Amino acid sequence: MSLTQIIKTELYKNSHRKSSLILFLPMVLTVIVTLGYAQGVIELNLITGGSGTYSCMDFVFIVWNVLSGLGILGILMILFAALQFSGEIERGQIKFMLLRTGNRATVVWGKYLATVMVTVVFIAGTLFVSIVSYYLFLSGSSIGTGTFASTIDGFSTMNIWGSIALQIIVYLFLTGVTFLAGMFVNPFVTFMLTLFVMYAINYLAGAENRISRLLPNYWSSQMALNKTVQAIPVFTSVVAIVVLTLMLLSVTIMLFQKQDIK
Amino acid sequence: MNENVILDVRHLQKGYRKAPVLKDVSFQVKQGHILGLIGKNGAGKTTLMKSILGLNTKYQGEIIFHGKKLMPSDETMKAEIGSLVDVSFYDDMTAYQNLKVIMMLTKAVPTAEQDERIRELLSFVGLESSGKKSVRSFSFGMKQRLALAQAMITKPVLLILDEPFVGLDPIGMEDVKELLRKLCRENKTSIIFSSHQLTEVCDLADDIVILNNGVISYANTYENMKSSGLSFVELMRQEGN
Repeated sequence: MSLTQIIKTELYKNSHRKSSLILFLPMVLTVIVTLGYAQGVIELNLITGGSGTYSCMDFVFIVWNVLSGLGILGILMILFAALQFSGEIERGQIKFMLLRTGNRATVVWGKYLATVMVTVVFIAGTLFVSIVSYYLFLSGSSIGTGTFASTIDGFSTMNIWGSIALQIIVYLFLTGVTFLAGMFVNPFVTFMLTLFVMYAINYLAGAENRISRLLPNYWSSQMALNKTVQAIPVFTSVVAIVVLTLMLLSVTIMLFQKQDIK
Repeated sequence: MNENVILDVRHLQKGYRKAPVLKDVSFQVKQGHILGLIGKNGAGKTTLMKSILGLNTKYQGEIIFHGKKLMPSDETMKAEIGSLVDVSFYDDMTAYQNLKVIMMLTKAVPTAEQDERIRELLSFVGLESSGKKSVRSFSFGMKQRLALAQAMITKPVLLILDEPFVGLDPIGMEDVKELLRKLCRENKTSIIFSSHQLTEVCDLADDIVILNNGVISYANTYENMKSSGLSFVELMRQEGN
């Protein structure tokens, strides 16, 4: 059984399962938030350019901060990832794959990569919905500039995309955490444990020390705070979290090879 | 080895957390034969089936399938074995979609033939009108039928069925028995099934294996057992050696 075959099967399954619909919640929330801004029900508190109005990227950044800052995106991604591996081990659905696949490592990799793909697609979808919502409801209003590029003082569009991308990399690490935790505990405990890891990482990223600088979300925050960041430490943090994720997955595979399935 | 033997289990031992479940199990299954596996709860029936299927790891002993050692990494051999052991479907998907997911995991059915094969299987187990219904809305008996359908996706030469009659109404039981007999008769499929419903075992099994406390306490053909006047209950009460 090839890795591609497992990924295809996982994508088919995820596109047909009703439980995957939870991933549409951030998109729905984005539309609600945009309508709230447009109606004046929600007040903006982000520093703006001289005009006090918002460009498309300013608005995308606001929505991103609302969804990721409150942990909504993280919670949904962790919940989704917990159901993919831990949930299937707990309920026994993983047997469908193990009865056909000769190599359990391929199953773990296939499931992880498919989860990552779905996560990234839904985050991209949420960002896309925030762009479309801006042009539909805000660009022509008194608080919209109608332009795309960021207008916040000294803040570049690249800064915003960079900050978002670094945060997404952390989600991919958290997916790895759910896979490892899922080997030992049920999906609910997996979800809670990973949530704890997410908040611990976010707390660390807010501090100023050597460890925090090894976290991509520290640099994401630095970018969001419009501070100057160097490419090398950012790149180092990305490599560090990718290596850590690979280590988590290697341990998961090692344990999964020896596990008796319910 | 007898050419007619499709599965040869030799000195199988398996435990969980140092508690032995299978102590030394050896038996054979012949091609086109139905073997009834009987035993009290906790006797090791499911553990035995999961070990053959490669769902259990770190067991001792040998499992020979088609004259070759059964390796968990051998996908060709895996495709030749169908199973119904603690099947849990994706409840929020339809019966068709569940079978499609399983079908996508095997090379045994070409993509172009998958839809037709799913329709065939659903019709075979009497679920042709329920293919588009969510599995959540299925009764236990319907889920059992669907589980049987998924076991036959690859047209296996060996079927391993754990309690296939549980949850079925009397008509359902008769249908499944007839279906299994047909598979044996027409395709020469070998079947191992466990059951607590002794009437079904009598009706279906060619060979009997009684598992007691992790060892086989009795193994014979059903005909021999019947002619010797032994009862299942008496045999099941005997302690394994």
